Amino acid sequence: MRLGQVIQVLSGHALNEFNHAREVEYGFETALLSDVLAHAKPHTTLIITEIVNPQVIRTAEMVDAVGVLFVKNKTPDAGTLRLANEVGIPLIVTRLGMFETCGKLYAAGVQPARSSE
Amino acid sequence: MSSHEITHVQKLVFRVGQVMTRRVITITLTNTLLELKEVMRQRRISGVPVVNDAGVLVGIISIEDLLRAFEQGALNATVAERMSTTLITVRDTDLVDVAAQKFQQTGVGRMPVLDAQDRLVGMLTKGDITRGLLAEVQAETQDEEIARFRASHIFRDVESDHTSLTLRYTIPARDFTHGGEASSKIKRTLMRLGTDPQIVRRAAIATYEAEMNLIIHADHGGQITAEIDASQVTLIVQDDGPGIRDLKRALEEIGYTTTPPEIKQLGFGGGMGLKNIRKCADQMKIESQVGRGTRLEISLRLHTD
Repeated sequence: MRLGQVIQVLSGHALNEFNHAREVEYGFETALLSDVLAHAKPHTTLIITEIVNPQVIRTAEMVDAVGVLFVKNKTPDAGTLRLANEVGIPLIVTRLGMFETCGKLYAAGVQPARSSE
Repeated sequence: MSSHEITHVQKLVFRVGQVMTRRVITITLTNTLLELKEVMRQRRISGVPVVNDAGVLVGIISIEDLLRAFEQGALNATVAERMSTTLITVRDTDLVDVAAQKFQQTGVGRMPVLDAQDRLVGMLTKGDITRGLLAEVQAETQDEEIARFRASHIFRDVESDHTSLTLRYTIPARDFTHGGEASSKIKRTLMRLGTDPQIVRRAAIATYEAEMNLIIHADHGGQITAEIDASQVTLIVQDDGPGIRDLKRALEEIGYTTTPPEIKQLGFGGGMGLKNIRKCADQMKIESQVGRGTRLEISLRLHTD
């Protein structure tokens, strides 16, 4: 599905400007950035998290993630937003919790992103 | 599509106002179709928005309407009689993808563009969108292309027995705000050198893990040195303490970590860093002495063949 559809499905909204047509194939829900760094697939993976610090953006940058989705209305501060814009990482926020978010995305066809070792 | 290209596409966000045609030629309700024909011929346009005396948009008239009137011998009719009043418009602040969807859904060839006060500020065709996108892609890509072109030739252009680039970064302790900057710069440099995106990604992940280790664990931060030559990148990451107490466990045991709980809340300290670095690197050496410090050296071949 597309980033724009992710926003629709989760009744969320975009926190910065990006191309809503970008493809999302995988979702990676996490509270541990090292886990993303170790196991995420590149390019079409959406990181789903409650963590809103700059390191989430850096992690997304290093693994070439398609974007970061914040659950429970968690919103990063201005500095983190600036960093996301600088390195070109799309940010989306939803008021839904982790369980519901992942359920809806999975039902819409997004696949688990943990690559098997 | 390489990761580099994707980054560019990602940045391409357009508003209708950026790509629309600004100098709008309008026609009034009382003009005849003969007059309309002249306007279209002279200005080489195929659709004209119609405004009333107050300058407010009230309709649109196209070459198709004109042809139909011509067939019926009604070229003396007024614009008001022949125009279409079903107005499909966009805002100058709308995203271009929204406008593109509207073109697709409605099948219209052009749309008047209105500002927040409903004033007619431009016209938009599919051609405008394509031209705007192309111009922007070119502008966006050009600077990076020049940087890439210059950088990627360095190993061919500079003559020596062994040419290498050395990048040095000082990483302050506990600086979570800027953590990752050095890795980001190293990643960008490798991309400019024309390195395979998969290899860049592995190098970036390994460097970032090491950089965060310095920030989280090292008493006084540390140094990252990246030495890049035509065939490989070598990263040396060192600090002056506290040293890793049980290196074997840190390297082998999944979940072994000495990360304090307050830092775990930031999303680090799963006991995976060194293992992940080893996974990303082609070679890895690590020496550590408690009270003296740690020196990590990893290398990655820059070509898969």
